[in-house]
Amino acid sequence: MIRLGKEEIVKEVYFSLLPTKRSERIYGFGDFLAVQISFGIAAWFFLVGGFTGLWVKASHAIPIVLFGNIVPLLLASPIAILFARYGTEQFLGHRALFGQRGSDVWVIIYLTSSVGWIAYAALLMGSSTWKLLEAMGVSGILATENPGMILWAFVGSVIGGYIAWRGPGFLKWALRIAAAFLVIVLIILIVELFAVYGVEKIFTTPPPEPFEDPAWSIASAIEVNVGLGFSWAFWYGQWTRLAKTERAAYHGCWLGWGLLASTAGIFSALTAILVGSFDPTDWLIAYGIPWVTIVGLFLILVANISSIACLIYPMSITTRTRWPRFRWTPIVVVFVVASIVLEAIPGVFESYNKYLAIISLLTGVYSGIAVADYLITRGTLKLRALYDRKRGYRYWRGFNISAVIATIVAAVFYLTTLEPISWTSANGLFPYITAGIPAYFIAFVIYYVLTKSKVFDRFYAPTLLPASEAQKQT
Amino acid sequence: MSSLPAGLQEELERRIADFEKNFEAQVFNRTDAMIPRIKAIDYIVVAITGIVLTIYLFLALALG
Repeated sequence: MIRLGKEEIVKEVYFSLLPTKRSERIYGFGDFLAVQISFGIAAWFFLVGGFTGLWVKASHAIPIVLFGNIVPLLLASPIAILFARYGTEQFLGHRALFGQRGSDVWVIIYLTSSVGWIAYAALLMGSSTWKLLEAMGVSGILATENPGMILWAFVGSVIGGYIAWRGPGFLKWALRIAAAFLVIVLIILIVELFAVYGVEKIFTTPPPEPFEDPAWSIASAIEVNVGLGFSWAFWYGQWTRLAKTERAAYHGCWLGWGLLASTAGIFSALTAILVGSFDPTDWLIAYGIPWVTIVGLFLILVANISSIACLIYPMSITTRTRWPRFRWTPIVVVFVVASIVLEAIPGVFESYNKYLAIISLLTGVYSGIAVADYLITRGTLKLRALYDRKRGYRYWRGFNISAVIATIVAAVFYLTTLEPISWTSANGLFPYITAGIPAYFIAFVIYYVLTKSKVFDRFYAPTLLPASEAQKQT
Repeated sequence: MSSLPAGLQEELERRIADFEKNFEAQVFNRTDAMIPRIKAIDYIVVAITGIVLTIYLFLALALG
């Protein structure tokens, strides 16, 4: 028998598939807040807030940003508990729910769709940097839109990749500093915004680019915010496996990603209303005061680089958990390179609302099924069965039929209610209802009913067994 | 997982056995296991937060 040394074990715990033990849990409530604030405050919040501000007035934008980003998180957050309880990576833990191959499908969806997040963070960083350099009178190609923006985006991806490569210990300290900086600067900028423009102007200025139908403006604004709120559903377990308590994992995630990171969305929504651009950098420049411009530039640099690191680390963990023979460094490099390729494609930056709608579809359905399963099983799993691809959690050809049906029905509902590419509604329900939250509940109800009624019991689904029997299951 | 590199398989087996021996029964009995378990009050706090935010949104939209 070959025994790993202590150093090798630590490396495998933090960079691979081993379930974490109690002594290896390094993230408390404060650490989760720091991680999720640093992860949350980035391009996605600045851009989604920007679109919200273009479409609806301030008195609507603020509750929409808060509701759209917090309520989906509240609906999805039981996912956080499961992986804190077992110390496993998220998609490995969800083999019990989706089946061995079903979970693999979600791993591939998660990894490929998430390269987009890296690209958006890097592109906003690139966009802000060249604009602010130009505004400060700097000349040269790094202060140009093309290729300056793309080059800065590449730099952001590489630095973020390096921080992720260092692992969770380094991330923990880097993100504590970044989180404090981000929250303080954002609060200062929001106070400055109100001090300069006044409450009345901010709340009476009409949105610059609303839809022809006001109901479409409101529903679209809710939809993109809900899309961002649900998008975190893919990112729980890679972090909460390091939690010291289930409570820290549960509350740290929704407070960090939702309530506190929403300040970035509110800030950019208000600047979009005042300046008429979804990019908050334009307000920082239009404001014309050097310290605001410089502090704003640092805000966007720190926000996006820390978020890129927060993306690449969990993506790499998931990859090594599924394919343990892959090495850590090449995996990180692959994600950095993939994001750089995406950043170089024209038109990606402007298609953010469509990307969010697609993410909303995927993660809304995913979290509806995951939370329904949590309700049924009360989070009781067989750790050994999760790791046993041949004998553990066997379903029909590796797929849980109940989850497949729930996914298909909810996805069809979403796509007929809101088609993300053309932003049209085939069934006419949008804008009277939105698509993301109803799709979550459709997936939830279908999965719950099919599983509880044992319609597909003959396909052997251990999650259907009572706890006492499941405990005996090998 | 038979595809694991040498040494990792053994460490994984040790960890699973340790969990089964020391914590699995507590998990199935819904008490504190490897780490302290979440309480009902935590879900209540979250539910109230969700209700408040939903009311805030509907009020804001209704009042124009």
